[in-house]
Amino acid sequence: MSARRRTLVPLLALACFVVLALGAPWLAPAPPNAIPADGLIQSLPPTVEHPFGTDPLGRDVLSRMLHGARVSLSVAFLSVALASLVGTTYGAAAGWIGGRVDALCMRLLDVALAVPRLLVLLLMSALWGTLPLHTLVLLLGLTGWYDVARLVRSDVRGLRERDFVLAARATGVREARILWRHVVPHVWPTLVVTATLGVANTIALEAGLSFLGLGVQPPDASWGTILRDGQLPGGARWWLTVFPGAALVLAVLTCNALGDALRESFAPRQVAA
Amino acid sequence: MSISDRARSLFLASMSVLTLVACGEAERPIAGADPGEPGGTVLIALVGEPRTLLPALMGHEHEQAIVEVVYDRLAEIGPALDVSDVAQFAPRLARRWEWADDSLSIAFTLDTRERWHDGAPLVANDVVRTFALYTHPLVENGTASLLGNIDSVTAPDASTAVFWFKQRAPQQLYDAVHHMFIMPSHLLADVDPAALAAAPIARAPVGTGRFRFVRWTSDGRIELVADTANARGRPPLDRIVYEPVPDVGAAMTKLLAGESDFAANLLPQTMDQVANSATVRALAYPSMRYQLMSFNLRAPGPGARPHPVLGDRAVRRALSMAVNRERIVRAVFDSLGEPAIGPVPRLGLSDTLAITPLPYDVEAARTLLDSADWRVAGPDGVRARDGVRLRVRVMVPSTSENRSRMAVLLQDQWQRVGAELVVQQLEVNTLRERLADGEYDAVTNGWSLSPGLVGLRQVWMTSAIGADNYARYGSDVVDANIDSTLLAFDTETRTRTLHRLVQTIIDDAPAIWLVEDRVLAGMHRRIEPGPPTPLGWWHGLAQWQIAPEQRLDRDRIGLRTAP
Amino acid sequence: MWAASTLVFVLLRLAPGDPYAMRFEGLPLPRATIEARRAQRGLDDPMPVQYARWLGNIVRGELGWSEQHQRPVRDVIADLLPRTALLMGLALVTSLSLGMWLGAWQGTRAGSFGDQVATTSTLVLYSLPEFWLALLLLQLFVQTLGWLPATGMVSAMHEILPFGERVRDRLEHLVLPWLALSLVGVSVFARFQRSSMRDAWREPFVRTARAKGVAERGVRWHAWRTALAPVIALAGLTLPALVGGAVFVERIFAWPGMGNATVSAVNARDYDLVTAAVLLSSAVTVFGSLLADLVQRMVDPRVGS
Repeated sequence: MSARRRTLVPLLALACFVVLALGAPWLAPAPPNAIPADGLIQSLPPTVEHPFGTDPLGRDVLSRMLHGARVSLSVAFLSVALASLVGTTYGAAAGWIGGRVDALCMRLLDVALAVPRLLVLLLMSALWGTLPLHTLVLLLGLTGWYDVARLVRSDVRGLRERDFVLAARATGVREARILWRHVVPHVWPTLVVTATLGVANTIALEAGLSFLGLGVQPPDASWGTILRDGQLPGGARWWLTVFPGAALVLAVLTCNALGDALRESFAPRQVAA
Repeated sequence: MSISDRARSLFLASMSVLTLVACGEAERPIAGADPGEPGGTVLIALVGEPRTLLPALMGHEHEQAIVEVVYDRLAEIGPALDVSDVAQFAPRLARRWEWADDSLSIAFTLDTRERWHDGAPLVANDVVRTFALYTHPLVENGTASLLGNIDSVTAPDASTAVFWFKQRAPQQLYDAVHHMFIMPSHLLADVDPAALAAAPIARAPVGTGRFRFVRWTSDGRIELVADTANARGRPPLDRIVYEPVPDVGAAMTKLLAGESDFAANLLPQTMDQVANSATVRALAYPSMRYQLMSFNLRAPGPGARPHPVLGDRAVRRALSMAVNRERIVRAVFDSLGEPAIGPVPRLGLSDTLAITPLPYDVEAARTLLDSADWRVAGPDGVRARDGVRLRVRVMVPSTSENRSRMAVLLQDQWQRVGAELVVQQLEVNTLRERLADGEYDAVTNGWSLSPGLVGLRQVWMTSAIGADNYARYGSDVVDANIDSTLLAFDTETRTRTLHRLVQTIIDDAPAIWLVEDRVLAGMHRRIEPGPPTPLGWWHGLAQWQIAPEQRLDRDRIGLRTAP
Repeated sequence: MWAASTLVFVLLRLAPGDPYAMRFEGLPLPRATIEARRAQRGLDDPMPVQYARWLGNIVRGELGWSEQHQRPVRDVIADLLPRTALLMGLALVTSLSLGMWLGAWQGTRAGSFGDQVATTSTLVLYSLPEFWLALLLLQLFVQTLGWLPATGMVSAMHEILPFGERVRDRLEHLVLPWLALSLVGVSVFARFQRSSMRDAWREPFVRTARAKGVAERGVRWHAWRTALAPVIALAGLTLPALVGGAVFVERIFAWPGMGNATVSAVNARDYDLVTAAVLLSSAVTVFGSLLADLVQRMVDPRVGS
């Protein structure tokens, strides 16, 4: 597969996911939270009417998954965007200023890394009580920037001594301007790659949190909560595990593949720079 | 369903006749078959790891399931669970008991044949020490509040223990014998009550029960074997091994894989799976528990102002009448539940027909809301009055899938009359804190009533506002009738006042009573659970048996234990 | 390490609830008992006082008392730690060795058919959420095939088995959680090793060495050593899992380890146990990065010689 195709395929797949999520209100065969008005409320295997079956409250799984995609994807995208912003700022500042500040910043990062992420999320969610979506985004974002910060910092440190930076400095360009015009563009590839991989990671993490009972509030759904709702041992109600699970794995896979492909395509340029 | 999902009970009591659930094929009970040589090993999956096996410290069901087998009470309540019917109480550690003429003390004569598992004889001082520890302020024990009517316990001689009461009450005998398991004073004499949990006996129990403790392994398994020297004879089984699992899903996996013989508190939606298994049968234990959504009648916060929405009786009644409970129960509990009647479950009422629940009537609900001036205002169809939306936030513990499901169904049904229900899944600690602070509109919770119905005081009396009266409901009629019910010595008065108080509470609608659910358990088909037990699945463990021809390899190990 | 456990200490105390509020799903403790207990344990003191006392205890090696387990924290951890270390250690060793081998192999023939197959499969494995993979394995090996025991560390009657059977029993129970962790682990390490190996393989020294007539095996060895640095750093970062455990896998296979115990301790507000667990894991984090540094120095030919 050519490098271009390797980027294009996952990119298109991701675009599909986004389109499906955005188009959920029009694409979904039923409202996601509609409980049958009469008759038995029960979980049914796939039929023509409900291609992915219904959940224990008789709601259409396909529709819930489409709407759930909005939650899962937007949580992942937004929190990674936040993490990238915080991480870049922190990493760039530490790497650029250098010296003691840098050392201190890195020690603080070590501290943050030493506390297991899941534990922090559990504690913080206890502090908050419920976890509305924006809070979840905030929490995931604020606990997900450490890697970005590290990578950006090491990039920036490398760049600081490069000729074009030294030249710019010698000609009296303001520091902030140098940082913005010369350094940030060079950090960009690293950032895009880590962010893409981060999205994959966060989608999986959000599902895991839902599995532990932390996540979007009912009646709304994310892929994780649909999975949790249907989790019965022994393969009963497989449609509640297989479909949302497959969507989850596909989305994560897509993002990882995209991240890999981007890294490949950026690599030569980085070497050339 | 996790541990915290189980109804928070006022008394730990589930009850009444054990029923076998019909499950497609006819049950073939092996009752009556000659058990022959005793033998058999039963593996029980327990959700949650026990913290302690000392009766005075135990609090969870998964601890009680072990403690009740190793330790004994002085006497057992009769099968009808009537606390005032003293003739029905069966002797256990006490051979007999005598009431003083003024009825303010009961003298128990201990059975001198009873021995502790370490060989020491049972003495009256054991009872004295037991009472002292149960009621010590530094001993973490929830039952202490139930022993409030007992003034003191004395031991005039080695085989007589006398309970002294503060006032005459119908449930005096029940109070004295039911809540405490007798502990050995010779192993607890030098133990500091504040550090009771650190005493060796807390993790290596020495009791008088028909099984004795063998080991508690580092991975959490607890092994008991038959006490062959027991005064009441050895039990039919050789051995019980309890294995802790992190959640009910893992318990189910173990059960279906044949790694466990028994697991209780299974999810109702797994009923079919259990019943259709070739090796496991489904059992349903009726209980005196019910689940409800309690409204907060006062405005959120500490004050006594009425709640802007729920303070109005008409609104509460309308919101109750908008709910089709039958449908909710079928959807979530299937055949394992029935719509709850009111603040006392069916088993606590002698005549359920004497009680009239609020009807399910959507039209009447709409009319009531209209006449209370709650009108549909916006395009979302939610009613409002003077700018206040008809909106209620309900707290649901995040560990409880069934309560979330019920809440979502309520939400759906309320929507049809123009009321909005917002579901808030909360971590249990947070939920408790908000309950304590009064910071909520509504909460889904569960209560399990004791045989004596004493719990009515804690849940519905005005004096319990700020404690367990989550509805913050107060009614003079109800208060007076609760007192009369609990203090009445004659059945007729008791029934009359009980019915009156139940009907009054139902009519005031401080809650929506959702379901009386039964405990689903799965048991390996080779085990015969023996005569029906009135109190919890573990209560009859000493009668469980396995017919010789049905035994598996592990049933033939005998009493041999590894070092 | 310090700061990390302090952070958790503060967060824990700020969170609603205390070890006593959660105690009974049945009977709540009487208010008097809760108050007496809180006073006895000093939970009513201002936070700085509590913190100073806690710090003093830690310095003296006192880890405290676990309210949830009703035992000293030291005993609880002494039970939990070996089990977690066994599972996670095995999984780490497998992931590291297999992952490095696979990655190195791929790195030397980047772009070949074999490499593409391996890359795709590691990518897929890497993308499987751990809990989903664990559920899948459970379904396959226990419920469908019935080859392996489902949950726990040993079977219920482990103690009375003869020695040989006991070993077998232990191993059988280890397979599934180990597999779940290792499959993901191998893919992580293989992906890292592949890219670093491929980069090393393109370095000029490889060509030089070949030109000099160094044996292919020697070339590969040399390239591998230069490609190790990122993998070692990653291994160092993974080390805390040895004491932290794996929450999802532990829960699904009912493996009684640190991960699940820590989560339930947070829910039960078992202050001392949570802080001790964090202290432990942060100590290993620090140790892990030191160790990684050290090993890097030892292995890297450019630093070492």
